[in-house]
Amino acid sequence: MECGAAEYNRRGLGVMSKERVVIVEDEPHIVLSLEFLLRREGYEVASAADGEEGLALVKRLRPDVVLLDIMMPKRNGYQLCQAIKSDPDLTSIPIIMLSAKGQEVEILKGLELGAAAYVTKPFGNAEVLEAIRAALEPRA
Amino acid sequence: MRPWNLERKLVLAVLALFLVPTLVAGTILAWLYRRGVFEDPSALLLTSVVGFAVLTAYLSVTAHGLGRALVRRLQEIQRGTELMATVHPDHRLAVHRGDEVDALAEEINRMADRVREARGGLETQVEHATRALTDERAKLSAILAELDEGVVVATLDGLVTLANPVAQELLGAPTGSLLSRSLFDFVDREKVAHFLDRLRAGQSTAERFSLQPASGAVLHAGMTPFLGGDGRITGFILALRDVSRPARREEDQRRVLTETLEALRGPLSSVRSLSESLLGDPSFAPGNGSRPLLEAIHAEAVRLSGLVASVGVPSLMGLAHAPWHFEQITVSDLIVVSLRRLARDETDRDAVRVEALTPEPRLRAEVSALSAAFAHLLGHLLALRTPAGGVWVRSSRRRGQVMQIEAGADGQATLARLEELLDVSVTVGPAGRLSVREIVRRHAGEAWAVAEADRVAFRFTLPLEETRESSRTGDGSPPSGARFVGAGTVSGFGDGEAGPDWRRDFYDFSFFDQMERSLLPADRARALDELTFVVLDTETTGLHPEAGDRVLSIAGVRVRDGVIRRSEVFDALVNPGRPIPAGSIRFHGITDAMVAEAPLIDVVLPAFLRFAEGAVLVGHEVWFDLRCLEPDVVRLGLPSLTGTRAVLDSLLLSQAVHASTPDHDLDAVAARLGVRIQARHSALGDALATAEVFVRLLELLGKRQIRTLGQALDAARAARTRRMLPS
Repeated sequence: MECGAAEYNRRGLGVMSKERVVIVEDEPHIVLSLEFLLRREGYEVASAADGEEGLALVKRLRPDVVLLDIMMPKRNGYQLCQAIKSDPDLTSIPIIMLSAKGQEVEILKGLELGAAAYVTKPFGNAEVLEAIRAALEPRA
Repeated sequence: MRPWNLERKLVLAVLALFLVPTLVAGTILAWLYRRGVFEDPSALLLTSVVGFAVLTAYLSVTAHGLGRALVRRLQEIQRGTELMATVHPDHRLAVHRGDEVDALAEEINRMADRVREARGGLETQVEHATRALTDERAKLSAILAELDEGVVVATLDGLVTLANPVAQELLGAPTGSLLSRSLFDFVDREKVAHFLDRLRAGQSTAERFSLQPASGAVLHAGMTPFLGGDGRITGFILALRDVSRPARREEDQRRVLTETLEALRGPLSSVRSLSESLLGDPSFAPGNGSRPLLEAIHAEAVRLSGLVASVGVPSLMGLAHAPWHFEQITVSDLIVVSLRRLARDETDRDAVRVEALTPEPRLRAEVSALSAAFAHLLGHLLALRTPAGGVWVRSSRRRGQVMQIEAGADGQATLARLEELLDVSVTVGPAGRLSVREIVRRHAGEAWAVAEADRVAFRFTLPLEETRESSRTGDGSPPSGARFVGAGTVSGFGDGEAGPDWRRDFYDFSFFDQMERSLLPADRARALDELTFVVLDTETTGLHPEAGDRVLSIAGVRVRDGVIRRSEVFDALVNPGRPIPAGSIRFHGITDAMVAEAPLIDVVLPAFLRFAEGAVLVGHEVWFDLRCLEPDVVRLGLPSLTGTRAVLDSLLLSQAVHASTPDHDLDAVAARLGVRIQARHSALGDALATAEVFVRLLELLGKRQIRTLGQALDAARAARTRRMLPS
């Protein structure tokens, strides 16, 4: 079942304050598919194609959730996650890692660094929406 | 006694010293008296003074002459003796007058003669022995020269005393240059020292590990100690085999597979997500002519996702794994080797506190590289710690067979500085330099730094050397609120999957029933202590013989009179006639190349049955081994394994003895009964460990009045029944 901001909107929780999602991902087609999906679900979406740009975007927008790829140029996802979690102003932003690295050691590292969830590629839309919903839940 | 010995000469000399001056003085005094000299006081005084002076001079000259004569002779003897004892064994002391001093000289001369004779005999013996030794050495060298394996004989401090040409080539030493050189000029000292320490501590009788000399080769090394006359280890023999090609090939294949899979995952995600989104779009609502095409694209994307996820899971547990040629080591031992690398004093080394798990699981590690990485980080942690602070290494087992190691210190540093330290290159033995991150990556692990207010740490996740009976006893739940989703990981983490329960899938008790039905009452009545047992273990290509998994190795060891007969051992590799899945290689380390020349099961199984003839079969979870062997037994028309003999399962016997204890896998039982397992996950290593466990269980069964085969089978059946009941 797909559920996300659209469901909250129907409950009248999110119409006036769309939840903001920042996607940090260097593969343009994945960005395209995620933007399409999330906008359709009622989220406000912004994206960056590398770690440096991603950190700047997160600092500027203070999103409600960050979708973060691991293998990226300039600053990889682990490093960006560390940077966000060590910044007192940003540390509360939940991070969902999206990765083609699917081994347990990598997943544990992501979670130890403070990610709220770790979604391995190739993922389905429901998995991403469910992860975002769960990450936002305590804040809703 | 000699007529003019020294004693008489001395007596006469002393008498002469007294009498001669007395007579001379008396004569002069009498002459002076007659001349009336004594009436003149000044003449008397003058006479007395002159007389005293003459007397004193006389005594002095005479005593000095006597002393010199004696001391000179003794000095002569001392010098001569020194010459004989050192540079001139043929020198002899001169004998002049035949007194006591000369007698002493004569005696010393005789002793020198005897010493010369003895030395001559000894030299002859040494010459004979050396010739025999040279002959033996020449024979040994001729044999070694013909060997395909490299062989190096070295002393404890690494001095090479013998090496064949293959060893020289493998170690990258110029011809003839290895002899009398230090082995550690060519291979990592600390790694060799670690395994040598294990041998010296009696932890094993032989060690196997890999070496990477400066030549760049990957060598499998087997180390065996040799003992001196006092029973202590005085040196070791290294047998070296070049496994560079299969090792590199495996690494290359693994890298290509991983990279390909990772590269596929992104585009697949896009296709899957986009097609799914479009299917939800009103413009592609049912009825639209293009919708079936879109559905087909989405279905294919989902199917490919499943395929990528399943190929990307190299083992049952979805784990990455370190290359098979790495050696097994506990974290504690790894830290011991790392600390040995630190050029610091003992105080600093003692400052590192290692908190190990009990029992301690093992990693598959290339000890040179990983210990060099830890040594580098521990060195920095020791430098960073506050004066009152400590440095620690603590390990914890995380779910999914991952070991997390934290090396930390009470101190302060920025995260960026700590992360930089992970990028520093460290020397990895003679083989070169690698960064800490690269070393960890080669171990299929991850590393990162942590900087908090008053403590700093490096954390590592590394895959554990998995056990067949792997349990899910880790402390490790993921951080609260964290979840795992996605095609590649969900299956590996779901509760109830891949834990001990998977054993039930293939735990086939029908063998037990068949065996019990075929046993005669007389067999059941036989006392356990008069039976012969063969304890067996197998390594296989996987856990599903019904799906084509085959036996790769069979080992058995006889137990009789409660004693493990280590000289009565069966150990054979089997060519399975099919490729060995990469996922299973990390369990047993057996590769396609290793079994390429091995005989087929058609040859090995009959040989094993002959070895086990008349014996009760014993194994830990033996039903799995039987299930793997039975199809070949049937195919080859051999007598059924369970239809003709008794079979005991040490796991069930352990449950019978310790019913209230939950863990009965081989590691847990071995730890409980004080058995140290060597070469875990080799068929022979596991068979020997099981034999040790079984012998101890027999003793415990005896204390519970279980003394016959029938009673043991009944106890095992009762344990089996308890096992099958829902808990």
